[in-house]
Amino acid sequence: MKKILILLLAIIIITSMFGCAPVMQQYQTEFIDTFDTVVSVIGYARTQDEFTKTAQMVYENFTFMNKLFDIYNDYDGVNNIKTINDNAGVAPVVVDKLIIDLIMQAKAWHEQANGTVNIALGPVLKIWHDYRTEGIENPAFAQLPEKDALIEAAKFTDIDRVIVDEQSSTVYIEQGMRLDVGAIAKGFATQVTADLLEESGVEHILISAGGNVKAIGQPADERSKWGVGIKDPDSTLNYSTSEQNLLDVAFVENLSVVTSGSYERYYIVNEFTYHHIIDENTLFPAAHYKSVTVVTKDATAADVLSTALFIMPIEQALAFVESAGNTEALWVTLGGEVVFSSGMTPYLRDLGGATNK
Amino acid sequence: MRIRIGDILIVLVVVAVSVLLLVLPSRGATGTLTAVIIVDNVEYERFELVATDEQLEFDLHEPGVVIKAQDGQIWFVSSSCADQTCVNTGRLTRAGDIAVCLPNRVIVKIEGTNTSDVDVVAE
Repeated sequence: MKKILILLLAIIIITSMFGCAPVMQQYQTEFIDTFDTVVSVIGYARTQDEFTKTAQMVYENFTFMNKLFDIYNDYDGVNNIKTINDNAGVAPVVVDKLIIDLIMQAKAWHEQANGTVNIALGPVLKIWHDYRTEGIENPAFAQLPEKDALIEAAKFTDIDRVIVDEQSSTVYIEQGMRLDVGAIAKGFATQVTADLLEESGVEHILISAGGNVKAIGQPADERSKWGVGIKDPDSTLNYSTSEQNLLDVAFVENLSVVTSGSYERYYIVNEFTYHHIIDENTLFPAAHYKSVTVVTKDATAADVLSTALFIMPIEQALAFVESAGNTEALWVTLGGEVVFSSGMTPYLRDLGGATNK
Repeated sequence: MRIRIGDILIVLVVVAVSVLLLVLPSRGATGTLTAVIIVDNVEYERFELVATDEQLEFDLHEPGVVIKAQDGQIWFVSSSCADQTCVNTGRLTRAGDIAVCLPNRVIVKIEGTNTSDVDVVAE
């Protein structure tokens, strides 16, 4: 009895001695202005200052890369993707190494993913973008692009004609061509930023670039895994962590989780919705699924694959994921059926009984 | 004085329990919920979100955004934006909930201890 008392007393004393020691607290912050979305930084730090420093690093990196990968705006002293497009058929443009790296990765993914993701599809995507913007502004006058115009634009989408000179850090495209890095830039920026955070010793952080999620380490509480909600494509809510917005929850550590859905950017013509993920074969929005969710380590890969797997028909998409290795995916078909790759369910709370311990 | 195995065990147990108590912050306790309104990436309003029938209404800058807080909930009532994503987000009720109007540059969120399974949503 006496021993137990001493034991309890000792625990109280030791605990109180270190009571002032910093304990990990939960923090969260958001910012807009980059990649046409909201970026959230969520996680644990010892102090507000420590967290603010992390969030500031994310903000600065995203702001810089948003300028580099922008196709609509010019920035003082920055050669970006728009500069490359403006110089199509004119001259090679000297660009930051990050742009070279992004384009080289995009070329490799184009090859690997059977041409489903193509950063040279810009001429076709621009037509859809313009019609969509107009259709959202004036729903009563929403129209579809002319098929002939799309076919004509598609003549200038050969990614092999995007000439990269790594030595001199230049990019050149031919007259009529146009780069659009929308299917890869957010993931790439997320991965580059996550690498920098890890190098500077940051742990226990989630970055969400408009729902492109990258987990750095684990949560710093009694859980060992983060809970990343997978959006129910039929939900009208946005970013909500409430169960009614979710299809399931994936418990992950050190992984990236990205969803592409037809609900993301769309417009309505004659009661039909037309979303933003364009299939190069049909030149129209891909029409196999409501959404696709990818779980894999690299945030660039997750972003690219969420588009690629949205465009591939289910047999091809499943085979692709199974052969890719260390990548899992979940599809919600147009009929509402949920299909997943062989290793997906162990991540899932509802469909797989996973826990966050 | 001789040190016995039992003494060493006691010391080990004390240290282990103490460290555990220190390292693991609890996720069980629900604290107060704080509503935060952010405009142009700058905090505009911050207040405790309490479940009373008192109603707060914020009319934000020119294009016209109306935000309401009532009964422990906060939400975009209306917005001048074309996409209406912010209004369609619905009512925020829990720590971690967020609604965003990109065209009008307004973020509304609830801060507090997140007690749910879900840290973030992939969408």
